Amino acid sequence: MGYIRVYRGNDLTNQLELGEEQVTIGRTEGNTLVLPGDGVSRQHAAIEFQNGEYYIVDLGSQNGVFLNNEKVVKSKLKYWDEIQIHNFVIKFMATQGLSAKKGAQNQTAQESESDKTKFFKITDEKQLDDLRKKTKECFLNCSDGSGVVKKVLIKKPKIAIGKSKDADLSVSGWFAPGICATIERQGNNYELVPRKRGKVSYQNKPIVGPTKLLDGSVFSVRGRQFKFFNRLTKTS
Amino acid sequence: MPWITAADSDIGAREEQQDRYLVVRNDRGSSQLLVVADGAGGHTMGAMAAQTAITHVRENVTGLWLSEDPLTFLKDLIVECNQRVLALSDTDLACSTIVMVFMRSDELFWGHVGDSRFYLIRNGEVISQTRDHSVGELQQRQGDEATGAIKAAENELYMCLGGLSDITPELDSSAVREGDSLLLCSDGLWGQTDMLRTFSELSNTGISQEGLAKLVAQSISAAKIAKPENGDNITLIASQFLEKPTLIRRLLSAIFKT
Repeated sequence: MGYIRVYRGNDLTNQLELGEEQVTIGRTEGNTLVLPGDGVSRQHAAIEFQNGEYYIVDLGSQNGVFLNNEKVVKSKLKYWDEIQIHNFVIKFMATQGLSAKKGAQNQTAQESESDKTKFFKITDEKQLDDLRKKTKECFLNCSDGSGVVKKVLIKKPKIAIGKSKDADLSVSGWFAPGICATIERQGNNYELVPRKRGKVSYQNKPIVGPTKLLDGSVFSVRGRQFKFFNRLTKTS
Repeated sequence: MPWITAADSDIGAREEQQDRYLVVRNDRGSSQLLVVADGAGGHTMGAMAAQTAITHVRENVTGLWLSEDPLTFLKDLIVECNQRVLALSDTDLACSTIVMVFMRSDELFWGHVGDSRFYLIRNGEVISQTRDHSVGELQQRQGDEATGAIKAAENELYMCLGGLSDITPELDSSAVREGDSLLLCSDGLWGQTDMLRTFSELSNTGISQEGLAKLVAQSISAAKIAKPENGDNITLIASQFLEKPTLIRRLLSAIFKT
């Protein structure tokens, strides 16, 4: 048994108890879990129960299903896993979550739960400390053409890649502009924003507009290769 | 300054106003710092804690305008505020939350301790926000929660100014785009009112200074009406990023200059 909790931003918008029947996830009515938004396919994904385990399955969606930041077609779920579909995060948990704060509509399951008294452990100091120290670390692995890979931490809201002296990462080439592209923190995401004549490719396809960077994705600017990482790590 | 900003505060249904806020710009008007502090403690100590933090920020803000590493600057500033507030309390506890955001062209840098919040809004949706340093929020993240019992502990802060000698402010940054809005508020606002409405109203791009001030006043009075008995102090600062002035606005300003 398990629960899935659906978050949009930091708000818990919905939650469901999982049984043995398939839970379908999609944009249109008729799905067990309806997620509104153009980035969600009509029938996007499903959670299936097989031999005592739950699996997340991509039903041929346009934008894919990500499990803990990695794209998956079918994968076994374990507690605390995070499924990302468009701008929703679905957490697979052993217990129900707190009712979402003001403004969000909730499932009736919550109300029936609220008159039961439960005990809860006060979080011990060490666990607290561990949680506080877990932060997302963003960095790029940049190759310089000779096979040497350099790790560059992204600490600013904007990083410029180009020929200019002010660029944080340099590229060469006769016709390369001063700034070929920027990497921008936009809210909780990072975006690759190409400039004119920047010759920017993301996952081997040329791009012209801002493109969200996913953990582990590769891109190139004027032929220089980069790999982007955005993952939870423990800082000292 | 590509930002228009409006701020207001209300005592709510309490006997004392323990919220404090600050809006300060550099001389050139190119950068801005917004701060909200929500004090807690008995016998005027809460208000004093919030005021002490705000005063310390105001007195030390100049270094921020030219700082090459705004996040570290904000972190140090919050840690110093903690020392100041700690020095206040003798027998009575004095503590305060603090949340601040530094705006420089199209970049934002923010930091906080406690449960006063920062929200970054794009097209009516929150694209980034601070996480409260409260027991409830932490347990929610841990999945170690129960329904009834937590409600009582939800407001307990595990990190604030004046509580511990060693604090770790949470920091973050983002770039912004035309029409993005931000909010700073005390829990009197987010705890007593429907924030979704405020978010959607804030998304009307091209809002005027007067329009924004009106919106801030309306949000505060909505929160006040929602809890007429023992309602908390309410503070809200709202800002919208409008980089490109419209052609008409540019023409008008050119005409009035000559």
